[in-house]
Amino acid sequence: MAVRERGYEHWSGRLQEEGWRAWPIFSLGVKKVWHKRYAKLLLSSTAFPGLILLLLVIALAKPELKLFTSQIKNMVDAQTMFYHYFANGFLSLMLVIVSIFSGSELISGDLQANAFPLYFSRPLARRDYLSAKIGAVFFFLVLPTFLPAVLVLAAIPTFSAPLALSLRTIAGVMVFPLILALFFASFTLAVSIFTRSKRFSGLIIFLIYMATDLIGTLSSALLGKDGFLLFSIQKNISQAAAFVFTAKPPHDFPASWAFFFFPAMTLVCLFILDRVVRRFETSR
Amino acid sequence: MPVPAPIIQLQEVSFSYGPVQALDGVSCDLEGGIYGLLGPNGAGKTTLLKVLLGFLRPANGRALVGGYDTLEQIRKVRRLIGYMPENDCLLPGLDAVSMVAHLGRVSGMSAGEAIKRAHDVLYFVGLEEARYRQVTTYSSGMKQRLKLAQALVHDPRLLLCDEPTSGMDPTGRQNMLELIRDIAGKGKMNVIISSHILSDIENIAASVIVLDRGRLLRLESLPGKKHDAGLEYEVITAGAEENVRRAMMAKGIKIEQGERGRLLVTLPAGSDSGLIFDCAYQAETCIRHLQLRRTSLEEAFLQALSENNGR
Repeated sequence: MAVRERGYEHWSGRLQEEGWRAWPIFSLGVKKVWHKRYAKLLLSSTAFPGLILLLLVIALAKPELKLFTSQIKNMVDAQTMFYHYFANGFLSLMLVIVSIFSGSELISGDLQANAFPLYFSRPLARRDYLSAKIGAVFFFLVLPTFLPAVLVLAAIPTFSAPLALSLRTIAGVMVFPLILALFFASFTLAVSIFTRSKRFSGLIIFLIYMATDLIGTLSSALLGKDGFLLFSIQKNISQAAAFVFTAKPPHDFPASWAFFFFPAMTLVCLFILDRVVRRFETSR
Repeated sequence: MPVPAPIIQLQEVSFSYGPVQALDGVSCDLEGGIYGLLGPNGAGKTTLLKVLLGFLRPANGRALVGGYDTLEQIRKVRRLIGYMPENDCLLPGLDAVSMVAHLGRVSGMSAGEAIKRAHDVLYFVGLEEARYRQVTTYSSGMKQRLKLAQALVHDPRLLLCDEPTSGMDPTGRQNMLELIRDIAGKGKMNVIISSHILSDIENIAASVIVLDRGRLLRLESLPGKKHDAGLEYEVITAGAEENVRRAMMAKGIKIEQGERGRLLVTLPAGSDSGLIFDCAYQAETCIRHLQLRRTSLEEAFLQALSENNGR
């Protein structure tokens, strides 16, 4: 007999009370990004800087291969190597592109489809929803930052590369990419929550990234003070990397300020997200 | 024998949007069954639903759903509630099965159970053929059914429907009401329907809650619910009234004498005004005046509002 002919039937199961309620939203977010056109191509291209670093470590460990001889002759410690890895402009640009690709429509899509009442009429807290969305973007940002850096870190003792490795370097490799990924994830969502258009939110994120760099660089050049570079996301990444890996800071302002810029801005973005989602929760 | 606890208890619930008092000391106990939530625009219907869902925090008083406080135990409250919102709500990029199953998982169902249940409820609401279609391609009526399905997926104890028949054609409307009646008819689920369409409420609700300007005007059972009754009309014939009466009675139409020569007729269930014209034709006369009568609920609703306005 067809279900409708039988009429409504109650469900005999029990709802789970424990567990991370946001898991289905997180996994749906990851799946959606993964199945996007060009996702595999883009995400595999993010491994490029990490792959080069890995080859350099192998070349250093196996001088008989005579690979990259001019590049590796000055490589003596791991912290300088990781500093250059995190401070290069390509990686920060890659982070912005991956953020836009993976996060620009995660919340704006829900806004466009008016999905908030469907979520928040269920036993789901705002922090569950936000942690799931941030978690999905974070997942894709960890791929080009944390994962290659940890692989390279593991490759140093594995291939017996003659690189000095300090505890601070290991801690920096483990923590710094996570801080960056969390910042970019929350920043992306905090911008995209103000628009229902994924294209517009992507454009705005990219413009903010470029504009902060332009404003910081111009102000610094015109007024002769490097402190204005704190406005620049890109410059802050290189300055913070210098702080983490005890390298010479490229700009003339305290490197620790640049490092703490990211957790501080992450908190600001999380606050914005919480307030805006709260507003949507009550107004729909 | 223990008395079952009310599914909803409202104790002096007040809420205001700035200077606008949206709910003003609303107190009542709702025992169960289907309730119609009535009131003009701005009466506080949607605000009341939001308070029950824990979206809004009452300024005074408290609301309990299934014995749980909507402020202190909101997760437990939301486990008991299925919500069918008024506006179009979708999860983009998904087919209906994936969407309903996903929301089932968010409610706390396991992945396997959620998929199985999603199929069941989509069959129940009549979307079995379209369940693998992208939900963004659905028509208005299908979206209404989809919203009902997602509200039912975790088998809540309380179903809150905000304008469930909005945007539906007459057949679709009737089907939606039948689905809701069937859901509540199984006894375990209670339903609150907020609607502007009084005939819908009268058709399926056992009780009505009338709100106006945030105040609870009435909470009463609908006497003599007319599930099996038909439409009521005021009729004036051009003559041969006795013949018309006889023809009508032969066709099962109930007749009362109204004021100023009007006949107050009640058609058998399922028939339409064409039957009245058939009777006139049979009596070799014609109809001079034909008007659908106000329902008893409409009269009660308007009376409650006018009493409140007179205060």
